[in-house]
Order: sequence, then C-alpha cells, then structure tokens
Amino acid sequence: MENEQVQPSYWNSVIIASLLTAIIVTAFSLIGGYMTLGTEPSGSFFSSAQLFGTIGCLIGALGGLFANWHYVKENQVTYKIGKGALIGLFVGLVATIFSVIIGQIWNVLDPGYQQALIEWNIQNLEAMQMPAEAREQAIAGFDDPNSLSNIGLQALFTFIGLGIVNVISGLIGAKVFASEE
Amino acid sequence: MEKIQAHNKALYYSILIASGFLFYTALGPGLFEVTDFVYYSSWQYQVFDILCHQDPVRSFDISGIPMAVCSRCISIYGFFFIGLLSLPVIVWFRPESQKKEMRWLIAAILLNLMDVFGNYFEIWTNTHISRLLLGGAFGITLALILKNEFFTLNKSE
Repeated sequence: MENEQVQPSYWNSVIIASLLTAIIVTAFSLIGGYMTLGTEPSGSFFSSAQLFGTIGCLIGALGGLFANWHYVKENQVTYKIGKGALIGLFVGLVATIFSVIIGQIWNVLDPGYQQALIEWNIQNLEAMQMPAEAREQAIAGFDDPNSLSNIGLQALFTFIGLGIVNVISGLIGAKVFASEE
Repeated sequence: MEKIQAHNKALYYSILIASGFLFYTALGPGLFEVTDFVYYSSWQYQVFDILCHQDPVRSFDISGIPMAVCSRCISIYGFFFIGLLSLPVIVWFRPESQKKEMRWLIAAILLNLMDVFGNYFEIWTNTHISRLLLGGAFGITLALILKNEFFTLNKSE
C-alpha cells in the first residue's frame, strides 16, 4: 500500500535514469555507426559491424526499472505500480529529449558524421542487387537528417518505442522495488 | 465459491493496449505486404531503431519482409502481451504469492544473458527457435509477476 504522507519528488531519479538511458542508447548508435563507416559497403541490409548492437538489445528499456530502483533507494518509500508506470513514461519522454540533444551536440562535434553515413548507405544501395528504379527511390528517400521535420519525426518514433517499454519496465520496477509484499 | 476480483482496471487495460500495439508494431511492415526495398525506413523500424539491433538474419519475416525486431524481442513482446491477456485465467490456477514467479523471472533473465554472451563469444550459436523460447520465457514471466496487482482470487462462503 502507498505511504499516506506526501512522498518526495521522483524527478531527480527520472532525470538521472533518462540521462543514463539517452547516453547509453546514443553511444551504442554512434559506435555502431562508426563501425559501419569503417567497413566497405557490401550491398547487405545489415553490416557485420552492427552485430555489436546485439549485446545492446533492449538496453533502452532499463530506464524505467533503474528510475524506480533509484527512487526507492534514495527515499525508502513504497508505492503502487501505477506510479512506477508514470515514472517509466517520464523516463521515456525525457530520455527521448536528451537523446535528441546529445545527437545534435554530436553533430557539432563531428559535422561530417551524418553525411558520411548517408554516403555509405548510398554506396551500399548501389552495391545491392535491386531494380534501378527502386534504388533511385531509396536514395531519394535520404532526406536531410538535420531538418526540423526529420528530427521531430525521429523523436516521435523514439518516444513511442522508449515510452511504452519504459512504462512496462517502470511497472516491473515498482513491483520489484517499491511493493510492500 | 471462488471469484476473481479485478484491481487497477484502467492501468490493466492501458498496459494491455500499449503492449498489444507494441507487439503489432514489432511484427513490422510485412504485415501490410510492403514488399519494396526500403522496408527498413518504415515507421515500424524507426520505432524500434534504438531498442533492437534489427538484424534481418536474426529475425522472423512476414511476406518475405523481416519483422521490425529480432526473434528474441518479438517473442518477449508477444508472450508479455499473451501473458497479460491470460492473467485472469492464470490467477484462477495459481492464486498464491509471486515469489516463485520472481525466481522464474530471474532464471529467464540469466538464461537469456547466457545465451546472448555465449553466442557473442562464439561458445555456441543460437537459433531462431532458441531465441524464441528464451525470449518467450522472459516475456511470460514478466507478465506473471504482475498478476496479483491486477487480479486476485477471493474465496467467499
């Protein structure tokens, strides 16, 4: 049962968990990207360098769990799982914002990264066995990743994924760490 | 007379809908018979872009198009959704405390970690089926530890 007295704010835990989640998922993405750039475009949809990502699978889902663990550890509180789900949702939202900001900071630090990745992908498409028309259509689909609409759309998709999985991990986190059972 | 009592109904239905949507999205663009060469830029792929490695070799496909997540992840999402749907029935058969489910969850996590690292360090090679089974075990035990938060079995005279 939830403590009746006013509970301390969970925002500290949300921000720490969001920052960690954003740093980890962005780092995995950047390392995978640079490893891809270090290989020759082979015409495969999936480069062997991306295998690195297999050990990072679902790591972005741990934010909600971590935030609940941190909140309970710092404040010695118990609460219902609905609050854990809410904490997870906020982690998904704030981690999305942080990952967009970190991505933009990285674009300032290495302005050629995005363009190099696009050029690698175009060379990779050219090496694929596919109809010329489909290839042209695919290449035309490489819009400027730094345009506001693309950043906004990518942030929305990231939030849908991160938001839902962190709500679930927040529920589990509240059940495991904050339950009186 | 035994009767199942539901709790936190709004939260249960919200999580059920959200996890159903997640599973449906994870099935990928093949569900809509998208067969062009740019399936990997579909919205389903972008939703899971930072959550899964999306290696087509390690994914099931629908209509020849790889799902938006790998075989382990689709199994986690699928079995979590099925587990949530089945909670009222499961509570009927296993109404007791969830300590056992917690042990099963820890075992499922350890087995999945062993499988991932064993494969990564080339000690063995996992398959679609092994990833499906281990991911499914993780997904279903995740749902099971939530059962008494949403349903309990009440015994009345």
